[in-house]
This record gives sequence, structure tokens and C-alpha cells, in this order.
Amino acid sequence: MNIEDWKSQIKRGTLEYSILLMIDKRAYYGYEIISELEKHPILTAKESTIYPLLRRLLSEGFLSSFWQETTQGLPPRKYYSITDKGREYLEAMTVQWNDLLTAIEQIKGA
Amino acid sequence: MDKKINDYLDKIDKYLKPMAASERADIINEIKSEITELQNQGSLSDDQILERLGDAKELAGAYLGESIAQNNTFSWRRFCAVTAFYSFAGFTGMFILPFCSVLAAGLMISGVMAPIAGVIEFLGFLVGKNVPFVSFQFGTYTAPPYLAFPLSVATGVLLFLAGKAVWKLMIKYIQIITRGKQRL
Repeated sequence: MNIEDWKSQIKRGTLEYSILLMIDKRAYYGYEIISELEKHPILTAKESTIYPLLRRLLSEGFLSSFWQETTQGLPPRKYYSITDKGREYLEAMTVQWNDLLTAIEQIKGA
Repeated sequence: MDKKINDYLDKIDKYLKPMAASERADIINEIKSEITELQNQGSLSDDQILERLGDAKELAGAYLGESIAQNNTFSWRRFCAVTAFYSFAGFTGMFILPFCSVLAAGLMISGVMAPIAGVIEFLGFLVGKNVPFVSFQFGTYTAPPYLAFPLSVATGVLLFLAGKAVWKLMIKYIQIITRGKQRL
């Protein structure tokens, strides 16, 4: 198997977690999320991945969104913030994530 | 905004046709917002921006894929909601739609016919002849020919308004059903 395929599989599972972790801290707008993820090659994702993903998280009730005017004469931005349901989901994800890391560590050490 | 960018957004809008108009507008506005953001940074040309966003069909497809995948997940709640909705809409529609449309049309046609008949009766009265096939009757009461015209006009207006009211009710029913379907 090609390493790129493997990377994209990992990315598929972790993008959602990464995005929720970011939005948990404060409200982000779409392009901001994409730029932030671009700082990490393993998590870099295109607009065609992030926007539909955000849309799904919205419709599942994990995120809520609001349009906000900008000051510098730019068009309004669509901000995303986390909901209570999203926070619960994120906590459950964190538990699983830590389990996974522990498991990998144990397997490596064995 | 640049023509090329407008064309690109139009194309996405076209590919998103299966989605609700409000959702489509929201998606387009968000993409537009990012394009302006990138233009303002000044490091990318319009062509590079479009290249970054990728083929319009692909980007729209990603949105559609996400929404279709969402709708296909089977849940009992959704199944029950859909079944209940179509049972209700189908059953009530079977009676309400034909009943209302025939009644509305009938009332409105009668509303127009009544004054016409009134005019015929009145003209007959003016020339001193009784028109045998028209008269204003309400139960056992038969109006004298000179009263037939004003009475028939009043009746006509009432019938016509009643027809319109039924028609509006039917439109309202259709709107409620349509809104219900969108919520599913």
C-alpha cells in the first residue's frame, strides 16, 4: 500500500477531531480553519473537504454558525462555534483518541 | 467581482441545484467570502485562487456527496416521519385537493353566471316580457323581476368571494404540505 493512501485514511479520521478541537477554543471561520490546518502537512485539506465536513457537523448539531461583518471592508465571514452536543462528542472522541495512543504505545513497547 | 470568478460561482450554483435555494446561497456566499479573502491577501492571482478551490463540479459534488450520504443513513425515526408524512399528505390530499378545486371553480363560475342571469331577467322585465328560464329563487321565495338584477349581483359577488376563499385555503394546504416535505 502506498503511504499516501495510508495518510489520507488517517486524515479522514482525524480531520473532524482536529477541527472540533480548534473550534472548541473559539469561533473560527472556514478559511481560517483551512489555513490553520495547512500548517500541518499531515492535516492539510482542500476546501472541497473542509466545507462539506463543516456542513455535516452543523447538520448533526455539533457546530452552530453565524455570519459576521468584518471591519476591513471584506465580505462577511461565516463563523463556526461548538455546541454542547459538540463538546460532548469531542470529549468522547478524546477518550477514544487517548485509548488509541495508549494502545499504539503498548504495541510498540511489547 | 471578476467575470471568471462569477462564472465559477454560477457553475457551482448550477451543480448544487438539488439543494434548497437558501442552502445554496449560503454555500455560495461562504465560497465567495473565501475568494475575497484570498484576493485581499494579494499573493494569489484569480486563476490561482480558482485552481486552489478546484473544479467547480468537484467542489459542488463534495457538498452534494456529504448531503446525500447524510440522507441515506437509515433511522427508524426518519422512516416513521417519512411514512407518517406521506400517509397524511396522500390521504388528506385525495379528498381536499379535488374537493377544494372543484368547489372553488364551481363557486367562481356561479359567481359570474348569477349576474349574467340577473341581467337577462332584468332586460326581460324592461321590455315587459317574462323570461321563462331565468328567475331569482331562494328556497320558496321568488324575487320580483325588477329585484332580480341587484340580488343576483350581490349573490354573484358572495359566491365569487366564497370560491376565492376556498381556492386560497387550498393553496394554504399545499404550502403547508410543501413545507412539511422540506422539513423531512
